[in-house]
Amino acid sequence: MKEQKPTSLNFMIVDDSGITTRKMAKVLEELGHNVVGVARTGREAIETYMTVNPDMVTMDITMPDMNGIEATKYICSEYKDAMIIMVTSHGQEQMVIDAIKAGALGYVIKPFKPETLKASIDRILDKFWK
Amino acid sequence: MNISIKHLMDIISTRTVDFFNEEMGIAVNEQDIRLVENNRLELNYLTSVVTVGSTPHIFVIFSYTKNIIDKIFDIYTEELEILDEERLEYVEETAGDIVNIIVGNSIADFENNGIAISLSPPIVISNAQSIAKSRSVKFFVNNLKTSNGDMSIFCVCPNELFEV
Repeated sequence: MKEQKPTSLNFMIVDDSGITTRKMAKVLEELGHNVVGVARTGREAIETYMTVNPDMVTMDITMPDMNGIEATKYICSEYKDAMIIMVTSHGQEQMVIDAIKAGALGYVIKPFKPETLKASIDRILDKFWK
Repeated sequence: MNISIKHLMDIISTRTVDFFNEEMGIAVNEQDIRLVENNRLELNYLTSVVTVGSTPHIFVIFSYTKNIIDKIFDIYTEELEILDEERLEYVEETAGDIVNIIVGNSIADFENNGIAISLSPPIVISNAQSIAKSRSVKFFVNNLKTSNGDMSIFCVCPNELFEV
């Protein structure tokens, strides 16, 4: 655990929509963070995570190949300090529960405002850097 | 899966009207929700499809006229720089994103005995004119007229889901 709460994080964005990844990157950069990796499927997310070792991940759920819940479960089982926020249109309560069980630390529903994403990031940072 | 098709259609319609109004500034002026009597759906300029649930699947189809999808694209991507050569691909992605967001938000309103209702990634169809159906499925449609063009929402499902 680092001693000082970071203000700038290295993010990986996982989403099958190119527009969403570009919009997300813009929001994250405006919040002062860096985007170090982008993946378009769950399997790509796992491979990219190993390569870029991000501080935090935004993860869509509905994707081809492997969904975001399965990818989160795998990443969190392999990397105990992984910090993943689900960013999805899927608002069903049971899906939120499944995401948390898989290891996600935050859940943001699309369409989202930048301040909603920022609040979710801050909650996670506060939890680990109190 | 415990979903009534009429209930799903009502929720998706409400969510669509709210999304267009709140996120896009597009007013829906008229709606016409009904069961489609014939065996063929007439499609518009661009069509996006998702499936809801596992078995039986419900297909939810958004079919846009050119005017409305162009308007939605302009608003949805207004903070991004889109090159001319990227435009067609991103208009199609917009069509997929919108059906994914609205249907994903809509299924939040359903209880399914503690089991999450799955949603497929969207597929987008361009230059299609119609979809034909077999006798074992039914079509529900909502034709929306907006200040920026028209679109249709179709729900396609097995006959038995009309009885739930």
